[in-house]
This record gives sequence, C-alpha cells and structure tokens, in this order.
Amino acid sequence: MTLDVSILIGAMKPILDKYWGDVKDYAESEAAKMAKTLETVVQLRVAGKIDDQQAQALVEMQKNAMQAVLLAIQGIGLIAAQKAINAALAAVKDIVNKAIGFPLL
Amino acid sequence: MHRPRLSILPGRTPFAAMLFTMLVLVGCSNITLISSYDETTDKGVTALDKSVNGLLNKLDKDPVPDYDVLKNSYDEIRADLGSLRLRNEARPKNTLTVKQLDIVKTQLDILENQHKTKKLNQAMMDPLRGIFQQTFGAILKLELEKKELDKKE
Repeated sequence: MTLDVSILIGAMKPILDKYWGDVKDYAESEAAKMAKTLETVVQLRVAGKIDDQQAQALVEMQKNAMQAVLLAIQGIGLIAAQKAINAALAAVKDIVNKAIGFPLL
Repeated sequence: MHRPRLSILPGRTPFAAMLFTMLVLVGCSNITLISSYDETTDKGVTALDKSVNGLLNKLDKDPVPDYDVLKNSYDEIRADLGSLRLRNEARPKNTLTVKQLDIVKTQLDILENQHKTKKLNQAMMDPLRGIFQQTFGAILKLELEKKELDKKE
C-alpha cells in the first residue's frame, strides 16, 4: 500500500490556515490595546497625575495582561494542531484499516 | 505533476513516511493536546470579571476609599478565584488556563498592595479597567476556542 501524503496535508492545511489567520488578527488587536494603555500611563505620568512607582505598577500589570494574551495564543495553536492531526488521521483511517485488515485507527 | 507518495516498506523512510508512522503509533484514537471547553469556567471567569469591575467602580472616587472599607471585596474575589483555579487545575491538559488565572491573582496582589500602601488614585482606574479587561478577555478567548474541539469538520 502506498499512501498519498497530499491526503494528509490536504486535511490539515485548511484548519491551520484558518487558525493562523485568526491568531494574527487577535494578536494585532491585543497589541494595539497594550500600546494604548502604555500611552495613557505615560500621559498620566507626564501630567503628574501618577508618580514613578504608580506608573511602574500599571506597566507591570499590563505586561501580565499581555502574558495572558500570549497564553491564549499558545492554546489556540494547540487547538489548531489537535484538530489538524485528528483530521489527518480521519482522512487516512479507511485506507489504513483496509490495508492492515483490522481497525488500527 | 508528481505527487509525493509514502511507502510503508521499512527500507525507505522519507520524512513524510516517518511522520505517518508516528501518527499511527501515537494511538488508535484521536489525540488530545488541550482540555475541552468547560461551561462552569466560562461562567466563573465572566462572574469574576464582573466582581473585579465592581471593585474598580467602588475605587473610582477622589480620594479612593480606605483599604479597610473594601478589604472584604478583595477577600471575596480571592475566594472565587481560588475555587476557579482549583477546578481548572484538576482538569487534565489545562496548564495554560491555570497560568492565566495565576496572572489574575498576581494583578490582584499588585492592586491590593497599591491600595494598602495608599498608592492608588482615581487617575489609575481607566488603565486598570483596560488591563483587567484584557486579562479576562484572554482567558475567555481561550476557553471559547476550546468549543471548536467539539465541532465536526
């Protein structure tokens, strides 16, 4: 039995393309939010409405928020990988099981 | 156009054939890399976001109310956060959500410390709202994406 690898890739690619597109949009919008918050912190500091320590606390919390965003992106990547691999397995399941003579997949 | 083909003959092992072999050996059933969607977590995070916003609304005064007046609010939020973390820690392959909840705790610690040491003022409230909104948004984003795992392609 020979297996056409394009069957596997064909099953995986549309899933991965969709997720990478979604991740790009999400990452960009969250980066813009972070930029806006940092701008606000600078404006408040320059206007003397907060001091250095308060500015540092806000920046620290904003960095933490961005970490949470990156964890979400990491999770979305895992979801995409899981769906893609399982789609590839499903695509070749019948071919493999028929060739091997029992339900391996 | 020539399409690459896999051979299952052991003598020839191009990369694609090795990948295919790994996929077969990984298991007879589907693989799982991340935990599934949890409605309780979804609702819990939304409720926590509401509680934190409620606290920020109480703080949004000039001058900011004394810490002692609002200490209970911090304690209640911590208790709810602790329950949510416990639940998510018990779920397999859920490390990312647990780490996100730990970030909320860290941010709450910073906020509470600023308040205790009288280093919190009304001008900080808008950026604080944005920061917590982004954090809770990220947790919910991940949880809701897990719903995709239940969808058939």
